[in-house]
Amino acid sequence: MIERHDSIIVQKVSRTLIPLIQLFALYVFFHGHYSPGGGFQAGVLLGASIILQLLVTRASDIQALSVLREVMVASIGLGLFILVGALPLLLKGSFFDYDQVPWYGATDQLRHYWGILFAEAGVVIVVSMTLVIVFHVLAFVLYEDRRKNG
Amino acid sequence: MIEAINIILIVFILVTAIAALQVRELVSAVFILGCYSFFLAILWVVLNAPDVSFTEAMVGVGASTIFFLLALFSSKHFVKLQVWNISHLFIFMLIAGLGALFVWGSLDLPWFGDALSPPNAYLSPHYLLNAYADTKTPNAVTAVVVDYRAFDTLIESTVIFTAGIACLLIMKVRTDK
Repeated sequence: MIERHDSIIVQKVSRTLIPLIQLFALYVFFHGHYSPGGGFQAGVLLGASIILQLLVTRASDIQALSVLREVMVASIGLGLFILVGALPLLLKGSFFDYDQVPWYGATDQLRHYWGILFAEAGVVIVVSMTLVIVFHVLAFVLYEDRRKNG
Repeated sequence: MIEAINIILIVFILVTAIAALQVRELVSAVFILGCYSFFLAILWVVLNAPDVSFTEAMVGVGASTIFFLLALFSSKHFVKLQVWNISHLFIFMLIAGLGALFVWGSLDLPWFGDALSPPNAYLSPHYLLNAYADTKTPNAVTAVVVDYRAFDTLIESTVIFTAGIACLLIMKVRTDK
C-alpha cells in the first residue's frame, strides 16, 4: 500500500489545486458545446483530480473505498450513455437519433443539443471512474491481496 | 516563427523518446516519458487541437506517469546489461525494414493538410457547414463526436471501461495464486 507524502508543501498545494481542477472539469464539460473539450477531457480532468486527492490522503482514511463500488459507478455511466442512445430507438427512431425524443425540447436542434449533453455526462462518468479503478487496483488492491495471502 | 517552434518541439520529442529508451534507470525512463508527453501536448496546441492536448497533458503526463510508477514499485525490476551480438543486428534490420515498409505505404496517403484529399473535400465541409444548423452546437468537434459519430464514441467508452475491468481482473488473478 502506498503512503501519503508527509511534505506540507505537497499537502497544501494539492488541497488548493483539487477544487480548481474539478471546477475546470465542470467548465470543460458544460462548455464543450462552445469551446474545445467535452466528455473525454472533462472525465480525464475529474479522474486526475480524484487520483491527486487519493495520493495525498492517509491510507487508513481511504479503507472505506471499495473498487467494486467504483466499477458499479463506471457501469452506471456506460449505462447512461447506452440509455441516451437507445431512448430514440424505443421511440421508433434509430440509434442515437436524438430528434425522436420529444421531452428534450421543442425543436430538432434543441433535442440534439440536450442529447449531446446527456451522452457526454455518461462519458465523463465512465472515463473518470476507469482512471480511478486503475489507480486503485495498482495502489491498494494488489497490496491488500498480497497481505491477505501472506 | 511557428515553424521554428515546430522544429524545436519535434527535436525535443525525438530526444526525449530516444532518451527514455536509452536510460538505464526505469524510474528515470518514466519521468522522461512524462516530458515526452508534455512536449507532445504543446505540439497538439500548435497544431490547433487543444482538446487532444488536454487529454495528452492529463493522461500522458499525469495519470500514466503515476500508473507506471505504481507498477514499478509493486514489481521486482532489475537492470540487465545487454551485450551487443549478431542477433541484435538481425532484429534491428527487421524493425528497420518494417519501418521502411510503413513509410512506403504511407506515401499513398494524402499529404498533411491537403485541402483536396477526400475527407477534406467532402466530409469535413459537410460537418462544418451543417453542425450548427443541425445541433445548435458551435463546436463542430463535439457535434461530430457525440452526435454524428456517437456510435464510435460509445464503443470507445466501452473499450475504456473494459480496460479498467481487465486491470482489476488481472491483478486479482495474479495475486490469488
